[in-house]
Amino acid sequence: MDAEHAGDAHPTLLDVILRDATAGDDAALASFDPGSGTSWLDEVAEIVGGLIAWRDDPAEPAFDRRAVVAEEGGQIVAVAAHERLEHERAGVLAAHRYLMVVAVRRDRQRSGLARLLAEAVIAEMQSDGVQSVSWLVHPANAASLAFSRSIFADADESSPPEDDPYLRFVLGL
Amino acid sequence: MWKATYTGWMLAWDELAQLDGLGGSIRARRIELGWTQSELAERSGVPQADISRIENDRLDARWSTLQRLLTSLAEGAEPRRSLANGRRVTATPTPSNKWTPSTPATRIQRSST
Repeated sequence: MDAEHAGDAHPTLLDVILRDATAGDDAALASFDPGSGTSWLDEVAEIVGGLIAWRDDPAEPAFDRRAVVAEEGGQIVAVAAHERLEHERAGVLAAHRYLMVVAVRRDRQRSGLARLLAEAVIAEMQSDGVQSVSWLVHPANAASLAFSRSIFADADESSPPEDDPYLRFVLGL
Repeated sequence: MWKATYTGWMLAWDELAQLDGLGGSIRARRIELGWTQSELAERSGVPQADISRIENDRLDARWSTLQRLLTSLAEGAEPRRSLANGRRVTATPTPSNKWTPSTPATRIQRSST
């Protein structure tokens, strides 16, 4: 999970539609602006720009990839994407998912969108029988760290070497 | 020529002196990684024009310049640490707590596919 979320702990009234991303969103996602100036925001922009191709990759159907957008006034203002985790020996784990990104458009940050979208996505996982969700946060990304620790205070936080330099959060559902 | 070490793919220095046409080897390695000269320039900090001349053996490059190029080419073989490749785990997640939504979640409109 990665975005600028400072001040996102108290959502205001939002009038957004949450829906699965479609192939028609490709151009909007390619120009989606999550902000810039840090390596992780550049990475977020790159990930969001390639989400439709990532989700629809015919070589990876086992990961059950999902891309969800928040639409406000006909424009995409936030994006989330997740997939099944892969265990190095057991293979793809149907009951455990990886939340790859939650990104809010630069001009709509600090509005509560990140919280609304993340909670909706995780609630849907919970209703689908998913047992845990994991995400990574760059240790220098103070805003996303604060968001993860405040909104998902029950999540376990660790620094496994395979995720270096990111911190891993795991939340039971 | 390219030797695996704990840091990834590194050019063995003792073999470097034996290379016949270092520029051609740099070009071959760059192409193998799928990089343009501009991309190698961005990663190494060596100007693209210099890379072009080095690859064509038309520039007697400084040792420090070659080191920057070789280091970048070596790092290119390592898997990228990014959010997008963080899905592989070495243990099944065993979270200590369960999440309870603090507010009613907005429902996601799922596509029919």
